[in-house]
Amino acid sequence: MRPVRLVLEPRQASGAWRAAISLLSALALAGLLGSLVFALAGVDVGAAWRALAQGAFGSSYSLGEILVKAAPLILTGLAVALCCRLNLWNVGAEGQFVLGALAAGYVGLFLAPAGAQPWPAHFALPLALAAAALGGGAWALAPALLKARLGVSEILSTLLLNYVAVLFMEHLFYGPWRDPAGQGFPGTAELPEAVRLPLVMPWLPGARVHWGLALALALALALWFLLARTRWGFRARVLGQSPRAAAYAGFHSARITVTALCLSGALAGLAGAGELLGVQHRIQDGLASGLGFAGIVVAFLARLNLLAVPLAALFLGALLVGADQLQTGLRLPGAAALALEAALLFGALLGEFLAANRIRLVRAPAGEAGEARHAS
Amino acid sequence: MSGGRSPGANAAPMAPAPPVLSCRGLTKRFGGPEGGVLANDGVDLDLFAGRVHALLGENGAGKSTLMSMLSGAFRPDAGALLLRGEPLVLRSPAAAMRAGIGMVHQRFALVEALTGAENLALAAGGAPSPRAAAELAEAFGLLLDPKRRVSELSMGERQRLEILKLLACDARILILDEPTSVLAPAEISGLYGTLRRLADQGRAVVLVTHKLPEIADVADEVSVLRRGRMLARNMPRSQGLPTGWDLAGLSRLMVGRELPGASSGRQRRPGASARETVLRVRGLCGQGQPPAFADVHFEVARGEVLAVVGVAGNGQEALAAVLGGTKRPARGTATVLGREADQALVAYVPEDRHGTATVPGMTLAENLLLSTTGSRGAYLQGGAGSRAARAAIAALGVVASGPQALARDLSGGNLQKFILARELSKSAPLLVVEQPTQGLDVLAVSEVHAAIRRAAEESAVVLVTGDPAEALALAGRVAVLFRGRVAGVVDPGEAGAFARVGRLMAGLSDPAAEGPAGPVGVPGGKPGAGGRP
Amino acid sequence: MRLKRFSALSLVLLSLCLLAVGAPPAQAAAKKVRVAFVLLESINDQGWTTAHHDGIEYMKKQLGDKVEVSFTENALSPADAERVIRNYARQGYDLVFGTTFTHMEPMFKVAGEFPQVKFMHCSGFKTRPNMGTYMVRIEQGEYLAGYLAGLMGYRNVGTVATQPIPEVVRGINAFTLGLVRGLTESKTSFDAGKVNTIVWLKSWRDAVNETTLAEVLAAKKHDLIRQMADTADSSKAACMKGVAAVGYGTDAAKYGASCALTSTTFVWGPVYAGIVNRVIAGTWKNDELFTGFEGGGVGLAPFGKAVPKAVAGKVLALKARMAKGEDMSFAGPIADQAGVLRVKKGDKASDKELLSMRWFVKGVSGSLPE
Repeated sequence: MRPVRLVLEPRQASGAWRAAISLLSALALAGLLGSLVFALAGVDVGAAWRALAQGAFGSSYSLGEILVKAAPLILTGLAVALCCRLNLWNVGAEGQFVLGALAAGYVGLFLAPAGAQPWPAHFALPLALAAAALGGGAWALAPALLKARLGVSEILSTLLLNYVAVLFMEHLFYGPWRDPAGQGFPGTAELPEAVRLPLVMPWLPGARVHWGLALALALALALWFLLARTRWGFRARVLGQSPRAAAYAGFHSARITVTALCLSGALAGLAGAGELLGVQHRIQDGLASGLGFAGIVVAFLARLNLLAVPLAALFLGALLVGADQLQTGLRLPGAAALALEAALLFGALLGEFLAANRIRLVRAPAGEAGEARHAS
Repeated sequence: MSGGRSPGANAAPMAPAPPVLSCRGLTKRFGGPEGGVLANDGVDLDLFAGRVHALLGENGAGKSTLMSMLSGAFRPDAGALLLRGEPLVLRSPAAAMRAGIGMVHQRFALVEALTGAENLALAAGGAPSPRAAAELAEAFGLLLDPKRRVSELSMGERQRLEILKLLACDARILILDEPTSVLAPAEISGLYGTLRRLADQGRAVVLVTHKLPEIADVADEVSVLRRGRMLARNMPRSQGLPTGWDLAGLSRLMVGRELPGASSGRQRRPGASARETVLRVRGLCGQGQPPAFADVHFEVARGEVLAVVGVAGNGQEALAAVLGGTKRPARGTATVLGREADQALVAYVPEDRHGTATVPGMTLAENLLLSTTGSRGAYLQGGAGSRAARAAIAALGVVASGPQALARDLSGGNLQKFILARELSKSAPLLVVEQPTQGLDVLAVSEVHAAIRRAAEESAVVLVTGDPAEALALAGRVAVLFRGRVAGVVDPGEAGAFARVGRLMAGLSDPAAEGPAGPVGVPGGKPGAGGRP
Repeated sequence: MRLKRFSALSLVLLSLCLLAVGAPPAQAAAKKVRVAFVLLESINDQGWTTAHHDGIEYMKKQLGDKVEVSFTENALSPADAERVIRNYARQGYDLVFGTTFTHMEPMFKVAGEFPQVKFMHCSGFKTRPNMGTYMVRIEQGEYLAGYLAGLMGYRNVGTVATQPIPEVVRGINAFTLGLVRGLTESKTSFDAGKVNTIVWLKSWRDAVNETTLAEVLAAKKHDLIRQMADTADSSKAACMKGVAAVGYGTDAAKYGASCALTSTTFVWGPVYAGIVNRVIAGTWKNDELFTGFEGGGVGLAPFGKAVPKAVAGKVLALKARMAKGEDMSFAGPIADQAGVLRVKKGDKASDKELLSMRWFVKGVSGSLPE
């Protein structure tokens, strides 16, 4: 019996080919793991996938809902991907999302309606969005400075600030920002029309797609341009791939780090504003429901390719929307959607690994086995 | 540490025991079958248990290639390995380790975040056990605290850990590639004591080096490689000579001429009158406590090459970084043409090609912009980068598919030529080159040397290197750094220059009135200075 | 280049998915009433959602094949809830329940789009012609639980309160009123200004802090821990410290708090069965249902071993009176913490007052967080 062993070796493949391998193995693995989840839950695997597809793509309404879900996911995905391109881990998109929503909410609740005349939409809405970008960016500023100046891990600082952000939001809508007409229930008043993101198809009742989606797509393009075509983007990429080369070239690494993390925070903040101004219109429980964390899945599904982020966001959106049907149609528990999301992330990471490495089965040749014995 | 035993006692084995490992006709060619480089050409070598074998050769002579074949990293194109007389085919370093052959590379393969014990467990299998590791270290007389993280260990401790890794895997043949290049002189004697003991315990030890004087004490036998050929094989100590070796003869064999650099294009010191002073260094001190280097003064004129040499860890890395503009000095000034140095005035080729001088995952066009991109304009001039990269490729004959090739896909020599071409294209008045030929093959070494000589026609050049032969071959003056201070400046033209540089590097006193080019090395009468404790 | 391939690949995958979507399953022809529930968390949350799920099961058992029931868990975010509610409406469900406060806005919105579908929202205040509300008078159970504790002589209660909303505030008040009544009847001396101390969890569930706060209260010599969180952890912590406990929402003893004297429980089953029955009979109106013991919407879990027979008898007697419609839980005179008379003798607090209550009665130590 000659022993068989697994050998891992780096794969020599071109970028396009690697991307294809990565994506296909990610999907195959996610499919496999998802099927396993279904099988363990005791449902017909084929029926489960059909129900998922039916739930996601079965009607024009569900297609619209995918877009609604994708809009914030694109932005949080971009936020995470941008940082990862610089070898930074922004796991604080959730908190920046909240701060962005709070800043936009402040404009909508207190600035726009105040004064003799309420602000018009063409003034109030851009201001609310700008406030959101500032709010999200500001929430990332402290971790960015800590990282750039003192080398404090941004993973921990951004993660911890998530909890602070949510507690702060709850304090506001339970306390000072509570809707006076809300009969004591937690939550702010509804935002005025002037700061709401307009619907794309206002004539269709129930079609919730808002123009925040277009904003997200435009920002994906802009961010890609920033990284690929500008001098700042070049410096950021150099810093991400090799900090020593950035130092050699004389780039201001600390400044680039701070700018990138704040930009990332601003994107996540805009995601929060989009969700508040476009969909929920009120700050209350459940405003932040993991869309920031889901940005991590989106970013890795897109392999940190900024132009692929919208596609990955649509894909995850479809999965989340379609998963409704697993509950209603097949009586699977609600956690099935989470399990599928986890399977997708796992598949994406493993897929990237498989694209970078090749696994081979090697049969140890007779001569070599002999040497080993001889030596011992 | 080395016990009372005289090093020479082991040189002649009692009985003609068969070699434990033999090479017969090993041949390795890089690049295509025509063209390319013949790194090893029909090399024979025998390694015996109980002996320390020094394999000598200049940079690029083929030493690393030969050792890579012995340790399973490369497979020979022709020739055979015999382990205790039986044919041996090695497909991987792991297979070599199973056969009892282990190698300590110049760059250590340790996980910095883990402790010594954990690194040992990674190499030898099993659970990490600080106690077992400490016992093992003690058994071999290697001073090491296995509970400390590698990142906290000195270079010497890391090297001992690497050796311990091989011993934990029960290696019978230990190969050490340039082991002294990272050590302080005091640590060198400790290392040699260890090697001696390991050999006395019946292991075969191979010491790969280009530093001739260093081997005098420790080696039992010596082989010399030059340009891929074995010129002298298994030469024993000759008892008649004071150091045991005909060092001058060995040196001739290694470099192929009486004094390195005496012929070829080595620079003459320029007439001080005609030349404009480019670099003026005044009282320069490095960062750190104690400072990496201190009180450095010198001037370099246009058309002159000044070499700064030193054993790794004596401050020349930090000095190069300050001159290159990537680090700030703690005190003192370094001015170029009277102004503070910046990217436009200094072209800098750092030691680390992959990761500092270039970004491995980026294209050559992008890497070209790395140090040549100015601060003007918001957009990246991709087209200009491509054109300039194409020009750089053409200028020094870089073998690459084009400006869109990734830096990581280039061989070390081609990447170094690309970096040199990029830096030369800046036409800066000062060129700082650090360890320019480390790890390059013979062909690339000569091309890089030629490029540096050409550059010196237009600019002032500072060459920072650990290799005295290279310094003497290229420079008009050689400044030797020892423990961060300039220990002396040597004119390559003077008699016994090579010996003087070697001695200054080792921190030995500098008898300015050295006799004519006699055999040199560590003088027997001064064992205390850099020798054994 | 890389991007092109990526997009092409994605398009292929997208179309494959579309192909896989078969025709929607044929609708059942029977005249079953189709009922859907949108739930806050998992049905195994041992608290709020589990209680609703128990109610759903009860209703299904009562109505058998007259209904077809579906539910969706984890509709935490109002944005998700809106999609789920609208999907049910689009799929032709006759009656959709929203089971938490944050479902109010989305349900109100969707109800405007689907006038033929009936909607019922739990714990809110917005209605439409096709949207009613329902809630149970948990404070009746609270009053009885407090009464029981008072009769047993507990006079220094520590309450781990959750979110500062009216439901919780009136629960704390009713418990305190019952406690004072029990203490008075059992002739125990007590500090009239401080029989029930409140600490805020500011969350519906937070296993770590529930335990911590309960332990802190026990260490400060409080003799009974009042759990108000969704999960039984604070009761369990009390049991570990050898202090008595009273559970909330579901039977805490069932989830490991064996020392619980009793638990006040939400009993949604009869409420749901009643609403669905009215839809079947065609008598459904957009009611604002608010039922206590008289409608079977509230319960007291079986008493613990520590409860003496006599005490149990007195509590059950009061419960029987409540079941007949006599609600003394907020009967005057009631003074607030400052001693101001809020409900006059002979009056009762109005439903409007109860549903927006933001003040504490005398005897409560602690304040509403701002």
